[in-house]
Amino acid sequence: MSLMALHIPKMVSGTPAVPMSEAIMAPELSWAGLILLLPLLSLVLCGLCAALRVKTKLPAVITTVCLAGAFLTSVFLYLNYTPPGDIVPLLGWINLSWGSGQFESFSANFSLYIDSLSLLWIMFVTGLGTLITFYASEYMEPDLGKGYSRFFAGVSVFLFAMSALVLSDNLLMLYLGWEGVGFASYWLIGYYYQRPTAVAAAKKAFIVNRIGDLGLALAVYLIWTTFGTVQYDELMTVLHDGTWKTAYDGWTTSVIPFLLMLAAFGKSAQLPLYVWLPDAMEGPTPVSALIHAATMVTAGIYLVARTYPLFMMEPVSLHVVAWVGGLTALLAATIGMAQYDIKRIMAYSTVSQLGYMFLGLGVLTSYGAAYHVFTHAFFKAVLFLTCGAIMHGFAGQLDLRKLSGLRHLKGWRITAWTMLIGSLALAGFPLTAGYFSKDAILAEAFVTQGPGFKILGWMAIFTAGLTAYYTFRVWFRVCAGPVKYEPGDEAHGDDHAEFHPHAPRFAINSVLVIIAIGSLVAVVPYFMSNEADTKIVGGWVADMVHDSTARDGVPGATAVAAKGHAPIAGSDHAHGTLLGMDPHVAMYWISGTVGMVGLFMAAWLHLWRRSDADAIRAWLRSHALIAWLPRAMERKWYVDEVYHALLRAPLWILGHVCHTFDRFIIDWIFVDGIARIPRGVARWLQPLQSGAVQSHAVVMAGGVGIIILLMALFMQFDWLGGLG
Amino acid sequence: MSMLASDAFASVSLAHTLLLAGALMAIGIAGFLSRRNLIVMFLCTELMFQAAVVAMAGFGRWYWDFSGQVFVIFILTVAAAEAALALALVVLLYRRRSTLDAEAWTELRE
Amino acid sequence: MGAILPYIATAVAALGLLIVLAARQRPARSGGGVLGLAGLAWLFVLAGSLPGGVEDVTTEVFVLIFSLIAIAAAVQMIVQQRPVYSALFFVLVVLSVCGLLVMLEAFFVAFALVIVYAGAILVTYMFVLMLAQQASDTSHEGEIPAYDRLPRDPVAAVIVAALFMAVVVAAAFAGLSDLAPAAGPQAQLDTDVTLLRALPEQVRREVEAAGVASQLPESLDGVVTAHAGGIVFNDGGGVSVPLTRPGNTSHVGWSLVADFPASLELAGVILLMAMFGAVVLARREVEHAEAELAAASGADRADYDESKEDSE
Repeated sequence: MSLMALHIPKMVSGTPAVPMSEAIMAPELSWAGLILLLPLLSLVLCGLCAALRVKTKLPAVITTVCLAGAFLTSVFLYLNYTPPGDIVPLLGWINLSWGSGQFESFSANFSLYIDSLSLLWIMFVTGLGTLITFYASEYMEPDLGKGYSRFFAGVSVFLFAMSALVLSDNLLMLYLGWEGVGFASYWLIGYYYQRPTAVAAAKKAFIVNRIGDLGLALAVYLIWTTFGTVQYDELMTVLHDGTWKTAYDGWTTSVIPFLLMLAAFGKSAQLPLYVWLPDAMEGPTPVSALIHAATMVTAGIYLVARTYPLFMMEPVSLHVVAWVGGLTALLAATIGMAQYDIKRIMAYSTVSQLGYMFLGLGVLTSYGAAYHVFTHAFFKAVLFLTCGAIMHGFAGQLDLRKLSGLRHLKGWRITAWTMLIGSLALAGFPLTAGYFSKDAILAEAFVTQGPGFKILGWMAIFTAGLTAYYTFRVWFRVCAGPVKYEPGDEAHGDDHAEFHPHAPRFAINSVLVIIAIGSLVAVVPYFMSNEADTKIVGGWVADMVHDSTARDGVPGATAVAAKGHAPIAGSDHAHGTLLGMDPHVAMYWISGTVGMVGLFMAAWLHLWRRSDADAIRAWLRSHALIAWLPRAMERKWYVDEVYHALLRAPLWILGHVCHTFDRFIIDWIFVDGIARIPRGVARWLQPLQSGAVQSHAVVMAGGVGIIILLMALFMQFDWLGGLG
Repeated sequence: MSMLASDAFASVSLAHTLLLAGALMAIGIAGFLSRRNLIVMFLCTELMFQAAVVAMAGFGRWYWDFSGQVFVIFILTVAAAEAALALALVVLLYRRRSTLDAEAWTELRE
Repeated sequence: MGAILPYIATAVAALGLLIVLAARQRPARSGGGVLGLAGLAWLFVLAGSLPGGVEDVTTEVFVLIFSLIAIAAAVQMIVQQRPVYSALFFVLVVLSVCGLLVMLEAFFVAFALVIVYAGAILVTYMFVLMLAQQASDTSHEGEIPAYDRLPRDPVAAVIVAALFMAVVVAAAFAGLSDLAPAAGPQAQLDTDVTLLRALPEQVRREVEAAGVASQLPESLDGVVTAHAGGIVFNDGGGVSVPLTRPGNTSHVGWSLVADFPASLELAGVILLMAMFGAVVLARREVEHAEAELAAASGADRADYDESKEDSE
């Protein structure tokens, strides 16, 4: 392990990026396996704590230490990173071969694929994981001795699976991690399992994710049958050489991206599979912050970025991704505007921002998507954690109509100011990290040519305005204005008038501060560019993405098209124009303006003239023509109800039909019927056993008589040859 | 003494003898299966013995083989032995239940 | 078609028997009896055409009379309500069977039957009947108990009876043609000659009674022969002594001892076992009764307890 002085490799290397197919095996880096091993160890130890009914914060300590170790390992990996990346074999898993041809072997091992994309991901996953675990050590205090160890065991499982997903070197290990994070999500959403709503939410999350998992499984199968391998390096080689199967007019290469897309939409909560994310807020807030804001939901983005060359082979798939992302962003923003539960609003905000990321992937800026992932992780985590602090301190109160002016309260200043930092970043306030990352996406929508991409771009700008509005609606309502608060449902004691809010202490506050600083600092990588390769625009993150399979989404990169396929229109980044200017420049002004407008609207309605907000709302509702709009937004556009009618109700009916069939036809007729036969026969024959001598004698004598008579008759009338 | 010489008796129709034996046997069985009095039941078994006797003697006369009559003697022996034991049992059973009803002994049932 | 007629006749007779068994009214009973007898008569008529049929009308008339009495008595036996009457009718059956046996020239067994059956076995039945009425309830004195009045499932009984009758009918009507022809007078004579040749003592007595002095040879095969429908003793000395033909008893005795000695001994053993069994069965009950009486009266209470203590 060579600990070089803190130099960031990308800044000095002058070597041009090389195709990923030349990633080298590096078994000497097997200490990288610690990233996977430490969470696993933490899981086992937390399990022991649970079994031994430990009543201290020991599980939290264990988990935090292990995750910090994983983070440090990933940092060391980064410092040791040289392009083109390394493959670190850890453990042999599946190695089958029945021939020597390309399609006559199947190999999937536990190996790590260390390239810059996975390093980018693993660093913020483990980093945020450590910080949020530290936060949770204080947040989960009420459950000390009851479910505390279980919580941290769940977090450990999650981080193990997420690391496996991100660091995997083949699609099968990715699938393993994929399912693992789904399971961990289910386990942790259902943490408060005594609540029926939590149980229902956990089931919903798992089942909706399963639909996506189907897509991933089918995609993996098809990839193997088409390309003959599921390992990334071999896959890239095959793509480069053009040696894949084109049976049936090559329909597989068109279908694979759509299946992968389905998986990504399921995991990252896009239309139509987003319905699980808002319900997932039933889980504890650290879970929402870690899993449903920063890390797990980005797994879909990661998948698409990792398999980007496959998407490039089918242009329509990328257009679909873009449109779905854009529509989801708009839809979720409109719903978020009309909710009152601040965690829900943040959840819809997450869905909306994920939509932005997919939009970025679809308009060929995987760099923009990755950068937005990076910044979103920080500011969304901080927003969720502050919501959690509020919930923790106000006995579960999350309704923004019942909270106000928290920044004036003693002990709540840090919460309020970190929330402001996060809100500014989310709203895209000029010069925050969110501003730059969102711009990268929005501008590209006008650059790349595609069906209706310009309309999509203006929709996205409008959504940015809505984002600013609803974000600051929350902040102005909750943290500004006159001081007023009501405790939530978990308040012990009956007298609400004497309720004192429970201010957050060191663990929570320190984590909030660190992550808020992180979201501010996240701007810096934008300006850390690689001087040697000036064609690449976007700073450090772009460099990281460029060195990976998602290279084609980096502006200025040399597009390595798959052999045999024409370059996609727009991949040469012919610049369209926006309002007569270069889109990148124009976007700085447009999005800044839109963000300020949204902020101003929020300030007007929720800070200075709150009564006006109520009046407008009442006016909207009173007019029959447009009253449906606010009502639909409040009711989440009735999507859940539609799903219930379309899917759940028929399945419920089918279940009952099958149950009836099973009970009456299979059980009653066949199983019980067969059981009834011996009983019936026995009951029919029972009178023979009457016990009276003569009835027995009748049967005996009658039997003998019949036999002899038959013999005599056979002989007399010569039946059957007179019995020989 | 030739007073009972065989030429005084013509041969008896074997068919009639057999039919008589069959009829007696049938009546005996009917009586055994329809009467509930233990003693009458045993009397019917004796009737069945009679049927056998008739059949034996008839066939003996047909073939002029005296083993038929010898077996009648054996039948007689067995019938006597059986009657003695059967009646002893009937007395015992009667002492248990004070009734000669065969239906009083129906314990070998479900 | 003709082969089924006997079975139909059997069915008719069975029906008659059923009516006799099941009916309560006197006229119905009589009707049933007539029907049964008619069926049987039809059977007998049908059997007349079989081989080995009627040879001499007089003999046959006697046989029919005895058969009629036997069957009538048997039917009466099974429908009588008082068991004593049943026993008496059974005696009548035995006697008519004896008559039939006489017609079959089985004189010895006829007498044996009368002595053993009507004499010993039926008397034993009477004794038991007496014992079995002993302890009955005095309030119901003279009343016939239900189990004697009503037959138990006559239908099943008659069906089974009809089955057995059908078996015999089948044997008679189908199988008789396969039999060897009846033994005629010549066969009877030969059997007598064979027997006499085995009885030198009897031959010597008759020869001496006739006043012929002769030395009987070792084997009587040459000297005792059949001659003109009889048996003569002719030792070649010019005089032939007619010999008495042995009777039925001699034949039966000889056959019993010469042909079935083992069975004879076994029959004796059966009787011995029966005697033992009867004694054992009777004794156990008596002992038990004695002990019970002693305990009930309390006479041996002290002894009783002591014996119990000793056994502990």
